[in-house]
Amino acid sequence: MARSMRGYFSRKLIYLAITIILIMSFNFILFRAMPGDPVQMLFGKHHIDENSTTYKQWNEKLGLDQPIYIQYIKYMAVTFSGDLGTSYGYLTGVKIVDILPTYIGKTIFLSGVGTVLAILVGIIYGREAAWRKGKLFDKVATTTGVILYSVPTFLFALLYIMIFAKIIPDWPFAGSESINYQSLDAIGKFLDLAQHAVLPILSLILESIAGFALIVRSSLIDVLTEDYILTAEAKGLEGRDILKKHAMPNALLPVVAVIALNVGWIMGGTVMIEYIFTYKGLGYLAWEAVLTFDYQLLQAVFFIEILAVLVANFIADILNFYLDPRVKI
Amino acid sequence: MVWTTRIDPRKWAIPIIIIILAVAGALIFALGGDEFQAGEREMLAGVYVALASFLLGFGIVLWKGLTDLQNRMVKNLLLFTAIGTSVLMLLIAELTPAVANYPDLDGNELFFGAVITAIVAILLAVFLLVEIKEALGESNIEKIKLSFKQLRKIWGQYRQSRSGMFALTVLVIIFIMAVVGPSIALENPSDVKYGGGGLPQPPDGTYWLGTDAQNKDILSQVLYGSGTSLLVGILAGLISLVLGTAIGLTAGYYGRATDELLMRLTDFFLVIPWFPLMIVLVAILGKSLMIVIIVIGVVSWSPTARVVRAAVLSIKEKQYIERSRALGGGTAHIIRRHIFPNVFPLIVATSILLVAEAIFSEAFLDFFGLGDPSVVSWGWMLERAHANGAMLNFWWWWILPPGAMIILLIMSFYLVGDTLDEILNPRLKHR
Repeated sequence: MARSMRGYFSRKLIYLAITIILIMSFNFILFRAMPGDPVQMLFGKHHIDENSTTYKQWNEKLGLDQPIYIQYIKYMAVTFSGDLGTSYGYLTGVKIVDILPTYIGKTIFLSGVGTVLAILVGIIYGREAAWRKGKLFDKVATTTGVILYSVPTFLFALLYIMIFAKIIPDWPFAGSESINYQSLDAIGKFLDLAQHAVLPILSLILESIAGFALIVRSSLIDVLTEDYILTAEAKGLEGRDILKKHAMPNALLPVVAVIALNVGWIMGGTVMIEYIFTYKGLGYLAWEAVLTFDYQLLQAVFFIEILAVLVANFIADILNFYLDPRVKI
Repeated sequence: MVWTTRIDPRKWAIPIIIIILAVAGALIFALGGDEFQAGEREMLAGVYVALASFLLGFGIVLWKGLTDLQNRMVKNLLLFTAIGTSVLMLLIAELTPAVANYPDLDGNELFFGAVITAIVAILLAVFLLVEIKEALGESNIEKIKLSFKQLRKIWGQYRQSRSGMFALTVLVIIFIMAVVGPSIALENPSDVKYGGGGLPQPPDGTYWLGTDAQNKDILSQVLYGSGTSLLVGILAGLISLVLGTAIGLTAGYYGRATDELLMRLTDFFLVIPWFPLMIVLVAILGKSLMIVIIVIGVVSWSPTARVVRAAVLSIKEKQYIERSRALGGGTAHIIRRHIFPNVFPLIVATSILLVAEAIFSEAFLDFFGLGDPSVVSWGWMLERAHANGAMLNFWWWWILPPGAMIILLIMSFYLVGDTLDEILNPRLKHR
């Protein structure tokens, strides 16, 4: 009756591989289908003649003189080997793979800490609201949740900056570290990083917290009406014990599924937050790429972000396998 | 009521009026030249589509080869296409003057546009009612009465929800703002304004919400911006709804390879992060309002497809579907008469949530500098406030109005969708 674990994983792995290949093809087509000639984009529309040698050299350099299927095969091969191309625009002539790690690290830091915090706070918030269903606390919490859920992430950031700039004018609003970061000792470094990260993370998570809380609340209210909860009560268990041992594990199942989707959401959020706080992560890089028409860079950033979300989904699928026995059937 | 004459005046009067209107419109179009506004052009386009459908419809109906039933079906189909297109176009026509960059647009022209729109809308509504009454027999009239009763019941339940009513009121107010806003605004935000300048001024008697760094009225910008958000939200939501429903219905009904293929596609769109995808698409395709709308619509259909597919799967196996098939019901008939009506309540609630998501996305794209630079919107206002350092200088009157409007609009759509969902899909009733 039970589908074997290996079968489940291999099926998910195959889907992951197919999706990655699809994404890469999509990426290839998208950036070839854009209007305008890439070389002309690079130099500005009227600054280069189509018949000049410079134009031909660049055409050759970017591989645009070859037929489209050769370009496609080359693109796939090169991407699989880990080369994401060269940036022409934001950072001219730099291999994108070389500069990406520092940017990726900052985004992972922001979204990782943000996701964990959002999940923890969201679950507690939703649990307490559901436990006091219909009472004043629940009403206030739900209303607050709905309002927070409706606020676009970038608005939180703008409001924080406005309020903090008024109250604490010295608070750092830009970048991920101070200029004198290297000269600080270990504790100073930590405090400096934390101080720079507080506002971005706070603006990033409030919406996710509200989202998680609303889901946990409705799912827990559902679970609390089940018969087995009544049985537990009849056995003489205390209210809080029922909540923790019997209700919460089941109520958290839908949350796991949402976590995976939320990774994509947080990714989108980091784009806004990094742009506002000039926090030099992937989102900031994307903005610079859009600004300087650096399509190679934009393509690479897009690819990495999707890859991250796909991997997160894969991990969530595996987690779900262990948590929810129904998947095995 | 039986009409003894062969030519029913009720039937012919309205198409003739529409033809006259269309000819008049064409004349205005031809004579007006550059002074003609784009919003009114779309309105006329709507009338033309309606006209073409009517002519086509009457042509087919007059052609003798059709049975009575086919006759009626063709007529109704064309009628609904015509009405649907016209209403959509009228919506665009009503809202575009508010959002597009027309420096020479004044109150009179807007008023003229609004009057024509209203007349055409009323005529179409009357025509629709007459046609429906003609086309349907007595028993069908009973059916329609029943569905009206159903609507009234839903409204009665809706009225019980306090948050739902609050949200609906907010939506109505914002809609009114979008329609009359440009006429009552102090100034057109697109006008170049000389003199003054320097620092933004806090609210005072003349500028109720203060001014921005170019000495322009914030309230006017908020009024002009409301149309943009509604237009983008509704149109993008509509695109995404149609795509999602079509894909979900197809996948659920046909099953097998079609299902597998379409669901992989859905998963693909469900998984890729929306915002980066939207950034890439808009960056490549160009910054224009239409492109922003289409991109948002195309990116966000996947959850709807999932919901619709699941619903179709559960309905498909019901016995009455089998019975209908045994009686000779075709695929189109089964989907239209049996499956779609059952899926519909799900779609209504989802579509309203989609509108909220679309408004969110539009505000973000605008803020990110990827919106149409010539269109005034709330996201655009925030982008300019951010670029001018409004936050660091505590110019709250420049940030709070557009920010609060975005939150209010998104929240209202969420709440309306939620309330309708509770009424139409009563899962929580037994508690």
